[in-house]
Amino acid sequence: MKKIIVNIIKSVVFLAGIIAVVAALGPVFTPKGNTRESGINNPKAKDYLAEPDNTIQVVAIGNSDIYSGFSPMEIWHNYGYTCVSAGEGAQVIYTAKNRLEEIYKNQKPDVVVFDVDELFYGNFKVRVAKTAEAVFEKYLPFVMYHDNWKLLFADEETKANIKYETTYYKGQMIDNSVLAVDPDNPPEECHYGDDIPYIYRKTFDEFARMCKDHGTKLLLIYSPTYNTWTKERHDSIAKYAEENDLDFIDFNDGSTGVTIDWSVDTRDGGKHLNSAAAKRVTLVVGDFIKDNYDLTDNRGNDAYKQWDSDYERYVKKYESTKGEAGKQDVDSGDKSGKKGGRKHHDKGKES
Amino acid sequence: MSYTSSEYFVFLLLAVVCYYIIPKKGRWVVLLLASYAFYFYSSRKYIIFIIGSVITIYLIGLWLNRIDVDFKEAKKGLDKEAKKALKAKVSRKKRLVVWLGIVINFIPLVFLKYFNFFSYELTRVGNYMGIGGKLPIHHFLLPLGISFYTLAAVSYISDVYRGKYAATRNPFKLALFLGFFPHIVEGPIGRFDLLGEQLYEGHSFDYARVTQGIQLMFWGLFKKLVVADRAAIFVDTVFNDYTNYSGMYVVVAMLLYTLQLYAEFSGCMDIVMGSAEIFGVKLDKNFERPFISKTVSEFWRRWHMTLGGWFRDYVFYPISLSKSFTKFSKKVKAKCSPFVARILPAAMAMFVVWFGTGIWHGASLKYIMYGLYYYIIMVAGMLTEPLWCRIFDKLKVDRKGKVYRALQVVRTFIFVNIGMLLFRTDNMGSFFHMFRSMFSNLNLSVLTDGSLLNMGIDKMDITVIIIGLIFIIIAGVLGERGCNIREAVAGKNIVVRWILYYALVLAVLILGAYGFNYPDIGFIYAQF
Repeated sequence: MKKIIVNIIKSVVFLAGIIAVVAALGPVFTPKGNTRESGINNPKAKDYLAEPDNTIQVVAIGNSDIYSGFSPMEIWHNYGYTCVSAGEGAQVIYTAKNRLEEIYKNQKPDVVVFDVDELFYGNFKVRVAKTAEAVFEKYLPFVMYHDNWKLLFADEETKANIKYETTYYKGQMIDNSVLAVDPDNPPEECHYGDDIPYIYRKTFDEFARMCKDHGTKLLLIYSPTYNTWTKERHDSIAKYAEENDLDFIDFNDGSTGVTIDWSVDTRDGGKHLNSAAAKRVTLVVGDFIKDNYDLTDNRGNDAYKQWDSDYERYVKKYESTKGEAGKQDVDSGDKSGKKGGRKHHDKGKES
Repeated sequence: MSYTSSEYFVFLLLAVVCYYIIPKKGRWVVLLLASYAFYFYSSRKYIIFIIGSVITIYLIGLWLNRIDVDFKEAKKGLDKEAKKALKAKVSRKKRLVVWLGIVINFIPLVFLKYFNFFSYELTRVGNYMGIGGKLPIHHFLLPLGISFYTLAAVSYISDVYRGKYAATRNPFKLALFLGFFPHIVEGPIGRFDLLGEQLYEGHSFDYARVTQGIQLMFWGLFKKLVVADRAAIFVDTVFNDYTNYSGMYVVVAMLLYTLQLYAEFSGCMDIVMGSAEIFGVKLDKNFERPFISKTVSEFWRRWHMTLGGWFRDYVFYPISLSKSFTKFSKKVKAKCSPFVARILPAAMAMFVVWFGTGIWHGASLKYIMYGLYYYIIMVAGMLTEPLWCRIFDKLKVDRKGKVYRALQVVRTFIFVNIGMLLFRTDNMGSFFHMFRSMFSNLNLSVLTDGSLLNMGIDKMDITVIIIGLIFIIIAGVLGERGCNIREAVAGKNIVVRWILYYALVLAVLILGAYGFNYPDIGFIYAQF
């Protein structure tokens, strides 16, 4: 009996030691910047980490539909609201909640635009796995950022790029190319169910509560989608919005006046909108915000001059990709269910 | 459910807790339920195939038992001649029954795994011969572990047929033998007589055994996540774009693939053996330091040992000891030289073994050639042995000396690496292309000018691979010297012991090639 107790104590102490070491290493490995060199996951979605405190008015959160189909720079240009997107491929609501918590550390957004598509993402297995991953990210950042040990040995150039840096695209993937839906090979339908799954709903409740507690308006949108929208899903969200006194714009039921032509409005064969379509969607959202919420127009304010030059860069990028032929799998967002892979350097080939 | 996924560890923990809180008598039921929950979770409706396999081998086993019992009853009171005639009749019947079992069990494997291959090749041959038409191609998914459990199922009925043991009367015990979750995905290919009792016996919780099992799992995780998955990035960069690489790029990719496959497959075996050990089950060894082999035959006795053992016991021996083959050997002996008489029958039986080994790996010509590649080396070795003997005798080379043995190891290593190149390439065309390209533009400077750092892995990754390799070599050397590392560590004082354990766990957690910076790399043998 004594031996059993000793063994139990030994096991508990050993495990506690591991947990303590892992927890202690968390801050060491957590990225110290939002650039790619900082070793952060999805650096493009982390612009908000670099924006000056309390300067962001609108935050868009969601999966790849948001970073493809919503344009923060159009919100700035047309309405004068500072806006960033924190959209990530295959994001689940628990990750969205993590992002919002991070945002509230430095920002007090007036509006959170949330794309509801991710509330229906994945089968049970995927939902549990992705949620567990997000929980790990929050409580044991070491596990997610374990590879940052390399930064201890990085060269000076890399070290110099470990910093917080704002971007001109503000989290959007600016890609104005066109790859029409192939009628013979359209994006696969991925309907895992029309009700918000329990595990997501609980987290979404917390997400909505967090917005409420911070005095932020939560605006739900269902971005135009070729393959994931159903009338039943619309009804689920509409019901949720009504019960919780939230606004909801659905771009798939014809109510917004935005029509999507999937032969010209998509960059990757129907999985995601291109930036031209994103602009039309964004203007509807912008109009809604302008008409329903009381936000300050910051255009002409010297403190936000940088946003005008960012807009110019955005336009350049927007124009430069116009007319390009789109590609399948440009990114691997939630539509394929695969996360972004290894950061590949330029391939070395024989000379 | 991958053996390196967090869900597997949660699953394993739940299974272990359930196993040890249940009374000893019912513990095998926990293993059975856990194994089929694992299977269903990973393979859904395809579970029907393994259940079908269990049912058929169960019935075939009982049928074989019944025939034996009936024979014992029927021969009572018969004279010698009648007994002999009856025995021959019973043997024929048993042979038919066992063949029926073998065929039934191989049908799903052959159909699902090889249908498209044969369909494609037959269409090609037909077109070549001027016969039009096209045979259909279907996109089947393979049931989890079908290549492994089919062999285990066949070994069971073959052993019952040979009278090695009696067929079990409990189909659920048979179901556990085939579906035991640690060995279902990649083996090792189990034998009922070695595994059966271990699985059904309710093991007591043994702290030392459980912790040693966990240690073995972490060593496997180290090999897979730290070494293999890192090497895979370089390997994939070259092999997926092979037309653009040559010389040292291909050589390094080939060597790294060998390391990847070994670290991954043997790492997986460590994980599954460690998992089984937690339940008190000792699975068969699948690796025994294969890279110190002096010949390719020895290599295959040390690499994927349970597959080699299966082909030896259920293909090679049955062929070479069969009546017709013995007759043939006698004829050869009478008509040919003693040398040919010694080589020819063995070479013929070996052909079937290596053809089978090749095609077992996958339905494509390159896998067949992979098997036959080793066959050719072995047969060539047998044929040229007298010549080498004469040459070495004349040159007075000490064939038992250390230098000669070291050269043999190097030679085998080269052969094995060429085999690995064939194994990894997509088809024969790409193999020949890459093989040739190794010798063209053999630019040694890429080893030092930093070019290799542009292949998806950086300097730190390469350092980690080298350090990992050193640890694998040290473990191999110690193992070869008969040192049981886990026991040796267990004998140290608690401070040293815990430092080593923490170092291993943290090495996996920190240096593992997992997470958003790395692609998900599955187990190669899980695809077979």
